Amino acid sequence: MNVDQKFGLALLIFCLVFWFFVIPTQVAGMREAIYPQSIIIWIAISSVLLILKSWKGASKKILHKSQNEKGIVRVIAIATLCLVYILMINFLGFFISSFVFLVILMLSFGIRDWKILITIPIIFLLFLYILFEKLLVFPLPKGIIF
Amino acid sequence: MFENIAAGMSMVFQWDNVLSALFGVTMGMVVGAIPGLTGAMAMCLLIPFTLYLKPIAAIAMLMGISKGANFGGSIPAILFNIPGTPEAAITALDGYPLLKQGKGGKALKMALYASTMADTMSDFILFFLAAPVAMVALKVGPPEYAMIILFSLVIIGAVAGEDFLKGLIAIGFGLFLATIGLDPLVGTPRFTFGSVELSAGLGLIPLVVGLLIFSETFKQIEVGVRGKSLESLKKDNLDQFQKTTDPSNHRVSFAEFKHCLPAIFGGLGIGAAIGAIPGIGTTVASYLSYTRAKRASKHPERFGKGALEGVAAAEAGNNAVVGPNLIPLITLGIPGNLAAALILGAFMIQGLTPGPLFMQQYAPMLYALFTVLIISNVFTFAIGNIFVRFARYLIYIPKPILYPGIMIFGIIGSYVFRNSLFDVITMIFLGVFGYVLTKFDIPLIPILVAFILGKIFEERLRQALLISRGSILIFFTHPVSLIFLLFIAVTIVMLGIRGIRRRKAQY
Repeated sequence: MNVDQKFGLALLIFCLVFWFFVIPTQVAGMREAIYPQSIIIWIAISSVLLILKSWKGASKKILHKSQNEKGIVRVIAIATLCLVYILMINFLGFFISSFVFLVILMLSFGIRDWKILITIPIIFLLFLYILFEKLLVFPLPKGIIF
Repeated sequence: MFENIAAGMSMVFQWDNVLSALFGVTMGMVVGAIPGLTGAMAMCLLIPFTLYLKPIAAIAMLMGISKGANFGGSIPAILFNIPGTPEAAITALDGYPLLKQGKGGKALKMALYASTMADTMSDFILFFLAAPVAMVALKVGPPEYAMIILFSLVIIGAVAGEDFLKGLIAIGFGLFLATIGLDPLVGTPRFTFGSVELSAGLGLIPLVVGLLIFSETFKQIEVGVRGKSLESLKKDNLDQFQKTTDPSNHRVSFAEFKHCLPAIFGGLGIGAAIGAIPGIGTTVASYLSYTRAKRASKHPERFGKGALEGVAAAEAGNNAVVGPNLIPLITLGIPGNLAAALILGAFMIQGLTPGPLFMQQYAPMLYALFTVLIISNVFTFAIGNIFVRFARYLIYIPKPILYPGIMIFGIIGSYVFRNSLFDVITMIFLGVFGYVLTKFDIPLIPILVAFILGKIFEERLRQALLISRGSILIFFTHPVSLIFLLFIAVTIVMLGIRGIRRRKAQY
C-alpha cells in the first residue's frame, strides 16, 4: 500500500463512521441530514478514485515519503506546548504565560543567548501591551494569579 | 453611476483609509520580501484586527498587503534567487541573471514599474466591469447561484494542488467544516457534540490562522527553523549589487521602458483574463505572461539570461490578476484566490456580504474601495522606490525569533475575534489538522474557500430544492444552471483524462 492508498482508506473509514454513527446522532431530521450525507458521498467517491488511481504500479512508487521523525516529534512537542500555554493563560494571565512560552519556543529553536531570550520577549510583549491594552483598549486575558 | 462614484470619492479621502492603505502596502512589502513569509500570511494575521477599523479602511489595509507583497516577493527573487512568493520564481528567471551582470537595481526598478503599472490598469478593469457584471448577476436565482459556486469550487480544487482528486477531497473537508453549528434553514444544532461554543459554528479566523499560519509554522518546525535564512544568504550577490558603479545599472531608461511595454501589456491581458476566473491565480498568470513575452520577442534566446522584458512580463502578469480577481468576489460573492477569500472574510467580519445585491446596496462604498486600490498602487510605487534599497537586510531576520512572534500574533488574533480561548484551542487543532493534511499533499486553500462559501452554497442549494419541492431537475431545467453543470462535467472529464494520460506516462 502506498501513502495515497492508506490515506484514501482512512478517509473511507472516516466516511463510514460519519454515515452510520455521527450523522444519525448529530443531525436532527432526515431531510436535514441529506446535505451532510452528500458531502460524505463526495469525500467517499474522491477517496475511492484516489485508491483506484494509485493502485496500478503502486510497487513502483515510493511507498513512504522520507519522514523526518525527529521533526515530527518536535511538531508534536510544540503543539502540546501551545495547548499547555493556552491553558496556563487561565492561571498566569496572558503576559506571564506568553513570556514563558516565547522563551521556551526560542530555546527549542536553538537560541542560547540569554540576552536575546530575555530582551526579545520583553520588547515584543511590551509592544503587544501598548497596542492592545492602551491603543485598542482591548483587555488581553487575565489569569487567576495575575 | 456617476453619483455613486462622486459619493465614493468623498468617502475615500479620510485619514484612517489612507493610513490603512499605507500601512498595508508597507507591511506587505516587508512580509513579501522575507522568504518563507507571504502576503496571505500577513493578511491572515491582521484580519482579526480589522474589527477595529471601518470597512473601507479594513479592506484598504488587506488589499495594500496583497499589493505590497506581490512586489515585495520579487526583491529576494532578484537579489538572492530566493523567491519571496511562489509567483516571484518566474521573476527570478531573468532578475537573478541581471543581478549577476551588475544590473540588480535595474531589474528591481523594472519589477516595480511593471507591477504597479499592470496593477493600476487591472484596477481600472475592475472599476469598469464590476457594475455590468453585477447587473447580470442580479438575475441569478438560487439554482444558478448554487451551480456557479459548485463550479468555482471544482475549479479551485482542480488547480490548487498536484492532484485533482486531492483538491476535491479538500473541498469536501471545507464544506463539511462549514456544516458545524446550526442548520441554516431550521436552526437545529449539527455536529456540535453538545458544545455551546460549537453551536455558533467554527470561527473563520481560527480556521484561517490554524490552517494557513500554524500548519505552515509546524512545517517549518519539522524541517528546523535554525537560522536557515542566514545559510541561504549569498553575500557575493549583495556585493555585486552594492559595488556596481555605473548609475545606469540602477535605473531603467525611457528606451528600455518603451521596449518592455509590449511585455507589460501582454502580461496585463493575460493576468486580467486569468484573474477573472476563480482559482487559477497569480503564478499561472506570471508563467503564461513570461512565455508569451518570450515567444513574441525578437531575441527569445536572451530570456533566462537576463532579459529585462522577462522581469517586466512576469511582474505584469502576476500583478494584473489583482483587480479582476475581485470581480467574481464583488458581483457573486465568490473569491477568485486566497487573497480574495481573505478579503471576503474581512467583509463578513464587518457584517457585509458581497454578492449580486452588494453593488446596488453599497455602490458608493465600492467605488471608494476601487479608489483605495489605485491609491495603494501609488503607495506601492512610492514606497517601493525607497524600499528596494533596504529590503535586502530583511533576509537577516532570524527565523527562530520570527516564528515565535508569528505564533503569538496568530494566537491573539484567534482570541480577539470572539474573546474566546476555545477558538484558540480550535485553531491549534486545525493547525495540526492542516499540517497532517499537507503530509498527504492535500491542498489547504480549497478547504478555506469551501468553508467560506459552504454556508451560502448550502442555503442556495436547499432554497432551490424547496422551490422545486425536492426535485433535482431544477438544476437541469434552468439554462444558466445547466450550463454550469455541463462546465463542471467537462472539467471533471478533462481532468480525469489528463490524470490517466499522466499516469500512463509515469509507468
